[in-house]
Amino acid sequence: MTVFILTKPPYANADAYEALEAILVSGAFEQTPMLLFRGEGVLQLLKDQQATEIGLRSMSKGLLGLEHYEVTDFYACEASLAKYHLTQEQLAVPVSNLNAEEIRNLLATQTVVATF
Amino acid sequence: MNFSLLVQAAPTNQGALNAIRFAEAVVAAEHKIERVFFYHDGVLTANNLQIPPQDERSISADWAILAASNNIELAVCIAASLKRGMVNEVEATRYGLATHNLNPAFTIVGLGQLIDAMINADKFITFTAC
Repeated sequence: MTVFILTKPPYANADAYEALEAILVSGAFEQTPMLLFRGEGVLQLLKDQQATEIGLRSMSKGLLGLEHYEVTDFYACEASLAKYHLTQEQLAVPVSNLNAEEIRNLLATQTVVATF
Repeated sequence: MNFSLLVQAAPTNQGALNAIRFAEAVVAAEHKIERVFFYHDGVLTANNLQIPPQDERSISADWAILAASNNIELAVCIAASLKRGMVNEVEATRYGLATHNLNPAFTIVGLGQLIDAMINADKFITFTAC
């Protein structure tokens, strides 16, 4: 199995959306990857982002679109969510919160880890 | 062992240096590198119009040399490249651009080649920007 670790804020540069595009292609290859959001990457999860107002594509819309590729395993670093005071009801998709040990265990069981 | 690398760092970022030094070490240890996929600002590595200072290594030229002597595919993502003004002759013609700037040692490919590398390599290593 493949896990994508997403560490970038959503609109600081093109990286977060380009990572999403790689995940979409992975889904199209029927890889059904898991996604782990950590650090500033948890900000990608915020729901109802109005990115078109700044001329960009919305990350939250993109995340919801992953469902069509059966990419539904979303994990988030508990400490990162806490740092930004984020709770589940503020997020676009349901996520499982993991502590450091649970993240270690998740990564240890994957064949491919790709950090974006 | 068969490696594939993902390079996300621009050639001016330390991540690019980490990537090529790692690749040289892999080859020196007699392992195989199947493909190096350049994504994010990493696609700028393929810019043929870079003039690095004389006392600094040219990451772009060094990738071309390493790839030629070890049969490594240097792949740049098409969408990420077009967005950053990186085009080969075919794309320049397609979009009616006055010139093209892709180092011929690099090939423009789709994201499917990244996923293929992730699936098929024994070891898939990512070099993020520092």
